[in-house]
Amino acid sequence: MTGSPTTSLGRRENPGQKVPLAVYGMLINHIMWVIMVVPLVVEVLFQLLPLSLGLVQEINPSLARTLFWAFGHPVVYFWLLPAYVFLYTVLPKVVTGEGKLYSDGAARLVFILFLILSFPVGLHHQFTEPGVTSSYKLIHALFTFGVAVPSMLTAFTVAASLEYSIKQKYPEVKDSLFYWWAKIPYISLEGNKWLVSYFMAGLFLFFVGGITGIVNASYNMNQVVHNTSFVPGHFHTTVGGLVTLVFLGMSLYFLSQLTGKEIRFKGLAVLAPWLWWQGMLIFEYAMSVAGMHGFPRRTNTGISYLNPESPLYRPEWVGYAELSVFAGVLIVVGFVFWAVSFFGTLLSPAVREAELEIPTATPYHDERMPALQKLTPWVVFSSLLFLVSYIPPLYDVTKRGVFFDSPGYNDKSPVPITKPQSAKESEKQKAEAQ
Amino acid sequence: MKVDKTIRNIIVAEIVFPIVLLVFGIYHGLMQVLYRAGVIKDMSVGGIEYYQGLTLHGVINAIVFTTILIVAFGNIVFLYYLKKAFKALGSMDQPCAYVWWHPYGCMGYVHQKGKRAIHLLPSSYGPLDLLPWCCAFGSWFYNPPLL
Repeated sequence: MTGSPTTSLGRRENPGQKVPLAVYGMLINHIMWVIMVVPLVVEVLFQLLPLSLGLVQEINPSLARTLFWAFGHPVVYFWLLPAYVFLYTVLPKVVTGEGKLYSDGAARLVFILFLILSFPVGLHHQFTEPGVTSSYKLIHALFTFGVAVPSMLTAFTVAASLEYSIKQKYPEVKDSLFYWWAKIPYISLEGNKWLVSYFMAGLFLFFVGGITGIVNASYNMNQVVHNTSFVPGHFHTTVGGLVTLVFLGMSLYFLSQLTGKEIRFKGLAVLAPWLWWQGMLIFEYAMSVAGMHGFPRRTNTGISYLNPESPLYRPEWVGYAELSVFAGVLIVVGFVFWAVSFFGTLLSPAVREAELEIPTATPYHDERMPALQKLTPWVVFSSLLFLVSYIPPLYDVTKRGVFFDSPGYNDKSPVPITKPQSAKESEKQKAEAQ
Repeated sequence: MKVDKTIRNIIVAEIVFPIVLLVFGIYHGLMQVLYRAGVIKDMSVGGIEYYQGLTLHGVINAIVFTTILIVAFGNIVFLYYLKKAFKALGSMDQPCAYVWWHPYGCMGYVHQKGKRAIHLLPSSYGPLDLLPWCCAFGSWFYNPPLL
């Protein structure tokens, strides 16, 4: 498949031309979905479904986790890539009204890199998984550093696009190194510039998310933060930061377009992302520092670790948890501002005919990139790499015997209390031989 | 560009529905910080237990909301950029938008609210009811038709 039937038709009608960048990105995103769902379907069909129907009494949890995270990591890029599509096409255009994307070729390269590198990385969610050989975890860790590269490329390209566009519009900052950042319309009600607040607040949060992501990806530093609140700190600034803010902004924009309604409460709409940003930043700080001090995730800490009546009480975590309440309230207020605008728009009467226009930046550098035209070889390569990177750990959690051949432990003894099956067999053989 | 009424209604539904769900998802997020800081000192509030609320916050926000909205954006992008390329073709097929995603999303949400069986997050533990995963499952059939 060189693309969908829709895009192939586009190529026939416009031979030699590249598929529009937004289509390229969304198409790759949907292809990735089809690939990443495979391990999830295997887990659901062969493990979760039989278990919940009572057809089997037990399943292999290591295998379940390995299959889940084989899906669970690529899915975060499935969430991220649409946000990147709008960062490349919409943001540079609306920041001045006539801005440009610095490099179209860089953007396409980014999407291809995600297609390849989103998959062979899932073990970084399982660095403490017993029974998976540490060298396989290290290989996935190295690929995870690899998948950070397209995000860094995006950061560069978006910043370059902003710089080019701002300096075109405001020649007085043409020679400035950093001051041009001040000319970005962070809070503006002019035309479509209100969208800029969603993109910029999201990007500032994502910067923090990227750094905490590098910590999580590092096999050794991960040992400090695994299962702590550091991890939700990370993903609330990524999916709960850039992705959600871009989605909220673009949803409001498309709602207004497709229903022919004027955006209501635009002032609230443009302020919302900054409240969200402030709240999420404080939340991230509290979760990260508390996490480094051991504050757990996925636990009702209120009845235990933060309860002065409990023997588990940890007073050193109290301040961070209380800070996260304050932060959470800020985030909710930001969301309410946006929701008032969204539902206010939805419930207002239409003022014009419904339409669809997407402000799209033209590229400043429009490189040919012939190797990235046909998707099929890249899709095949990506699927093969996915398979090869997962065969060794799948072998570990199934055949190598960790699940079925573990020695027996209980919580009273630091050493095994029963021998594994295979040890019992070989002892029997030795006894018979004597 | 002008958009045909049917496809426009489908896309608007694909935007509004996840946003409505997001309201509940964010409510559960607020509950999370209140529980974890000990502002709430119980295991449940309003009939929803801590771990159910946690699962709802994660699944509504990160699985249902994101995926349906991404499908909406996919429809929008394909419609806008490719329709422009096909002006000469007259009535080009609108990208297919399958509506049966929504029943899965609804089912998944109602199911989680209703049943008490979900205590543990799916990424770590096997025991989990089937229907919420219909969301993921259903989407697998959704995406190829989009292409």
